[in-house]
Amino acid sequence: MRDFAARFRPADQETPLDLAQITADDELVESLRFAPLFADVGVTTAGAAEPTAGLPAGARASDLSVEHLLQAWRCEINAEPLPPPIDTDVAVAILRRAPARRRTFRPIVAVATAITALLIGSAAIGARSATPESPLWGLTQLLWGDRAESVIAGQSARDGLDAAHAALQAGHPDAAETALVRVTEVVTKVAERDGRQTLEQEIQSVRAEIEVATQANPSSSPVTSVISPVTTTQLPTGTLPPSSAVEPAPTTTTTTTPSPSPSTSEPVDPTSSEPEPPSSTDQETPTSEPTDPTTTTDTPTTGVVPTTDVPGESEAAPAEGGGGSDDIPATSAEMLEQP
Amino acid sequence: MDLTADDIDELVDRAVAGQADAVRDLLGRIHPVVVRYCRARLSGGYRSLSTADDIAQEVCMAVLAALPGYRREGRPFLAFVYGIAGNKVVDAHRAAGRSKSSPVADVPDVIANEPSPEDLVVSASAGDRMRELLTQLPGPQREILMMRVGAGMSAEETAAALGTTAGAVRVAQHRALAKLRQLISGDSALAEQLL
Repeated sequence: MRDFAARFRPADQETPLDLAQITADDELVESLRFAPLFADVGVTTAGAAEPTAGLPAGARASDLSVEHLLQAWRCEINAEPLPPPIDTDVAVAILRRAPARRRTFRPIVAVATAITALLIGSAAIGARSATPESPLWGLTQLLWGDRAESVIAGQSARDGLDAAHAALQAGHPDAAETALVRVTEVVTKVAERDGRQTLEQEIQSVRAEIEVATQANPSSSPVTSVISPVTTTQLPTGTLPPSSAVEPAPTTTTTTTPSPSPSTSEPVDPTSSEPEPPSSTDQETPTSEPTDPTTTTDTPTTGVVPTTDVPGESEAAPAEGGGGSDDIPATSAEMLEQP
Repeated sequence: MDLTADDIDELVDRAVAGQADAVRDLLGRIHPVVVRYCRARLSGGYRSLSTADDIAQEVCMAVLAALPGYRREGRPFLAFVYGIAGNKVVDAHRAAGRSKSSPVADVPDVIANEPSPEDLVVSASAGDRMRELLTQLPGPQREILMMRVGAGMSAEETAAALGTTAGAVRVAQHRALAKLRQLISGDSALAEQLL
């Protein structure tokens, strides 16, 4: 019924429209609506469809006959008196019995519901892996509150670590320490899947860095330039106890070095152990101890040679020695000879 | 009995609430239209007018039963009634297709002040001719003529029932009448040729 207008559109094209004719036909129909039944004498002659004598054109005659046909049809429909409507009491009873809320489930509603459910579902799933920068973050906070908290905690922990790093580089170990304290508080809220492990590892490494920095000269700022070549500078501290006091540079870099395999560290240890005591005693954390010996093994070749002769050249050395693995035995032999 | 008036929805609400006078008023408005419409759709052939009146009664009862759900559909009240009436008429046609009986009117034993048998015969023959012509019209135009002439609805009421505009109804009825004239003149020309 709704597409009623569309249905009779194609049939409309046959004749051009004349507004006057439309109005005339409408008046004809209206006059039929209110014409008295069985009063029109024309009804009796309707079947003949004869043009009346005075009428000039055939169109008028056919018009008459259409009118008469319609009138006759109307009379037939109304031939019997209209039956009385349903008794009011019965009607009220029917109305009472009618289900108050019958669900008229329309397909369009079903489709709309399905689409909405699909959108919400995909948004919820997408929000699970959203970050604060993404547009779904608001939804994440709403639907996955614990995860949102974990992500935020992870981010603030990351920020704190960056701040600690920056403070260290600027030569303010106390500022780094306070930043680190805050990070350790926050990091407990970070979920495992959001990188808690790496954050904790980093905290420990930064802490070790801070300790080394504080134990060395807190005032000595030139350290910052040396930080980048991490691996090279460590050795001097272990091998040369006298020189370590003079040089602040090597001490700071120890923490960042990745821990190498323990097997390589052993040959070096004997040599390094003698000078180390002063440095090792200062370090409180247990983690720093293992790192120290191991780190020394990594870069023995580059570190030992330059530091003993020329401390200033230690930066340049790592570039050369980093790649060459066959250097290690040779240098370790040198180290043994040195003391 | 204007069925497109604004108060019709308010009347429906009161009827749903169970007010007897509102129910009576509502029935009084829709009943004549429904009866005439069903007669226009169902009269002729072996079916008597009483059959159409029975269908009209069914339509009215169905309208009452569905009345609580009307407000949620958000369309004109006449369209709501027309949807029910259309379904009921189609059901009646199906039932008539299955039924092998041929009802005969009771012999009247009272004086009738209805049209004389002669009137009925004449108008019936014209009615038969009209029905035959109506079958040659496109469905929507036939429907509009049934509502406008048969059921005596106004253009606005017809438009509300069919979900279109009064202007479209007037254009369609003009086309329907033009088609009827064309058919009639064609027939009379054929008759003249034969004679």
